[in-house]
Amino acid sequence: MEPQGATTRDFDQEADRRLIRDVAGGSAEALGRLYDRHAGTVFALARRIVPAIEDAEEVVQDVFSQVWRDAARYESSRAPVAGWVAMLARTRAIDRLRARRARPDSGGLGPDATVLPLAASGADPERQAIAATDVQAVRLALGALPAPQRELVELAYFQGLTHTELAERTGTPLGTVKTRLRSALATLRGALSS
Amino acid sequence: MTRPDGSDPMAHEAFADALAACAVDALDDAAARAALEVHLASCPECRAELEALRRATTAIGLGLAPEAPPPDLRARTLARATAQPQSQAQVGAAAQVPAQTPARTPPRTPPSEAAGGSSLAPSRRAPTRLPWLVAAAAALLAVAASIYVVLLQREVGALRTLADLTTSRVESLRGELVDLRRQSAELAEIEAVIGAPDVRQAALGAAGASGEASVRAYWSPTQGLVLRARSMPALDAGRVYQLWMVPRAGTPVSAGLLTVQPDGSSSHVTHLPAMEAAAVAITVEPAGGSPGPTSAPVMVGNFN
Repeated sequence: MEPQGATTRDFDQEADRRLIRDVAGGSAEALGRLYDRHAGTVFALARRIVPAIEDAEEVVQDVFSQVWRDAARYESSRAPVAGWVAMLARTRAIDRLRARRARPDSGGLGPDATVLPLAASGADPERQAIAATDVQAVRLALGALPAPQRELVELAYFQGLTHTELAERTGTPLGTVKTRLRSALATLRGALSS
Repeated sequence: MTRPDGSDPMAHEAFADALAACAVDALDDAAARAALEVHLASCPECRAELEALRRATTAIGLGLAPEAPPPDLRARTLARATAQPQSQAQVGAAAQVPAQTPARTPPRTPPSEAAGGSSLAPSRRAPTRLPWLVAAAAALLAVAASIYVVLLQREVGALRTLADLTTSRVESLRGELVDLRRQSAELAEIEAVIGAPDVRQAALGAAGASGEASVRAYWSPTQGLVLRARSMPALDAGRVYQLWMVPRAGTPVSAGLLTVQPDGSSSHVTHLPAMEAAAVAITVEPAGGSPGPTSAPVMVGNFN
């Protein structure tokens, strides 16, 4: 048990895979080691999305509870764990954010309607492999985006805002929002190695 | 231009905005989502593109500098997590001896469970052979289906309104048709009577004050009686015109009540038992008519 483990950035997918398999077998110790490897990222992501520390802690607990419950199913997909955990963290955090916001302007769609994944999203976890170099490249690409584009990406990713909400929040025409978001994501996607 | 796989390159362009929005769950236009679902189902290129976009956005989260959670969170998290039942996706996984038997508490399923990409009940005990991908695909198909339901419900609402309008129009046309059929049938009967070889006519002469009325009767023992009238004087409320066949011998036989139109015209067709009719007469009777004449005829005419 490494005390500083929670803040260590580690994309060793083989280690993750072994741990997930053990978690699927019911090993609480393996879950603890996954926690040590990924809780720092989950917590950072949660804090960025839901600033209140108690909400962020709830997100961490939610995420690892789901890892525990679904480990067997996930293990069978042999997909990288880091991406899965980050996706869970974002989804859970945005759920909480939306619940807190309790916005009256959700346009008739429930809070879940906009965060539900599309058919193809995550349909092939094998292809969600994210290399450490990719993470670094995307981070740099994000920083290099024109400010209006970066703002949209961050509001969408960290605040869970939809097209319409982005237009309202930034006072930008909807068509411009769509185009800018698309350009921004094309740039980030271009930064991936494959 | 269409590619060998049947996909239209123009379609990729058309879906680019929606695809990008999807990668950050920002697509809030239900119609656009539904259209994209349909396209993705048949376009491997756009599916691959969406996956790449997802990887890029997930990298944003992974790129944050890790932040150490409060030290006590670890124990709380592990305690809460391992207190739950685990789902079992594979026979192999189920066969392994757990290092720690998890407490079997009732599954606590937050409403957004499916948003994390998994939707099977966590408490499922029997090893399920359903691969994760199939489960995910099924869950997402359900999402697509629910979007379609909303869109279709809207369309159904519009069509229902249209159908209501159409129905009322049909009802009114049907009413007109029924009227026309009735008139047509009546005309056919009139024609049958008037054109019958045994037809006999009677011009009803005014008896008393109702001299302006022009009334003519046609009687065919085989086809029936027709009476056409114009300028019949209006009667007081509670009084009606009743038509009588007057046989050569015996008492008059009622041939029915005349329905007089507001313009004073009346057309009456009736079938009667064969008889040796000598004349036709009209009396004014109380509403509903009488079994026999209760007053002197206001008009009478002999058959030729």
